[in-house]
Amino acid sequence: MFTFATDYYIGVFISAMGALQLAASLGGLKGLLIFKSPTVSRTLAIALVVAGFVLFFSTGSRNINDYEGGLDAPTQGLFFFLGASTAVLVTLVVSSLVNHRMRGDERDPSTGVEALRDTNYALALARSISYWCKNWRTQTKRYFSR
Amino acid sequence: MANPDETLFLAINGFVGALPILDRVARWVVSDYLVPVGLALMLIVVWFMKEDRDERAKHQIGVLVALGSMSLSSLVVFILNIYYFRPRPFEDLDVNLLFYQPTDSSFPSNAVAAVSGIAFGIWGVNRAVGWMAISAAGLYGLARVYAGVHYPLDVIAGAAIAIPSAFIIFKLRDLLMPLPLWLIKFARILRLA
Repeated sequence: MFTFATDYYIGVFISAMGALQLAASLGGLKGLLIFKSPTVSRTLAIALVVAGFVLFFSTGSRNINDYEGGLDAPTQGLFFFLGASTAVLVTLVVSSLVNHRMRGDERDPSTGVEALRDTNYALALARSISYWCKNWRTQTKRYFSR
Repeated sequence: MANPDETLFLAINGFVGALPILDRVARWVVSDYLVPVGLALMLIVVWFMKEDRDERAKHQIGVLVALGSMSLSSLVVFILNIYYFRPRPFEDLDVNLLFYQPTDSSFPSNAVAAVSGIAFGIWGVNRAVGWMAISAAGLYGLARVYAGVHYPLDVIAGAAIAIPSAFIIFKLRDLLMPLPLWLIKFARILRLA
C-alpha cells in the first residue's frame, strides 16, 4: 500500500507531466512535445493534469493532519519539487527520443529554450554544453554581467 | 452576542450537510493539495507558455516574483502569529468540520496568504492566468470557511497580506534583479528557460 507521501509524489508527477506538455504546446516548443499535433498534445496535457488530481483524491482519505500521516507544508513543498523534477526529467528524455529527428540550426546558446522550437532537447543541450566548454572563459563575464 | 465575523462564519458553515455533493467538493477544494498544487502547476505553465522570447523572460521573472511573494506572505503570517494567536472556530463554536483540526493560529490564514501570494504574483505578469489563479485562491478561502477551519476575517486578512507582499516584491525586483537574472541565464544554458 502506498503512503500519503508516495501518492502525493505520483499525483504531482502525473499532473506536472500534463502541465509541461500544455506549456510546451502553448509556447511552441515542439522539441518538448511528445505528440506533434497541438490538439492531441493539449488534450493529453489536460487529461494528465486532471488524472493526477483524480488519482490522488480517489485512492484514500486526503484531509489528514501531518502528525496523523499527512504532510506538513515544507514536506509538501519538497514532494512537489521531487514530483515536478521527475516530470521534467521524464519529459526531456521521452521528448528527446520521440523527436530525435528534430535537428534544427545551431543557435546562440543564450537563446535557451528557444532552440526547442526546432531541435530536440538532448541535441540542444549537447550544443549548449559544447559551446560553453569551448567558450566559458570569454563568455562568462559577458553572460553574467547585467 | 456573537460578533459579525462569527455570525458570518456560522451562516456559511451552516450550509454544510444541506448538499452532500457540495460538501464533497469542499473537502477537495479545502485540502492541502488541490489549490496549492494547482497554482504551483500554473507556475510551470507560465514559465514556458509565451512564444515571444522577451515575453517569456518577463513571465519567468514573474514566476520568481510569485514565489518571492508567497515566501514574504508566509513570513508576515509567521511573524504575526508570534504576537497574536486566535483559536480556530471549532475550538470555540459548534462547527460542522470537513477538514482535520489544524493547531496553528486561525488569524490570519497562512494557507490563504501563501496561495494568494502566488496568485497575485502571477496576476502581475499575466492577467488571464492571474484571474484564474485569484479565483482559485478565492474559492480556497471560501472553502476554508465553509469547512470550519477559518473565520471569514482570517481569510480576508490572509489575502490582504498577500496583496502588499506581491506589490513589494514587484517593486523590489529591480533591486533583486541580478539574482533571478543569473538564475534564468543559468537555466538558459541548460535550455530550460
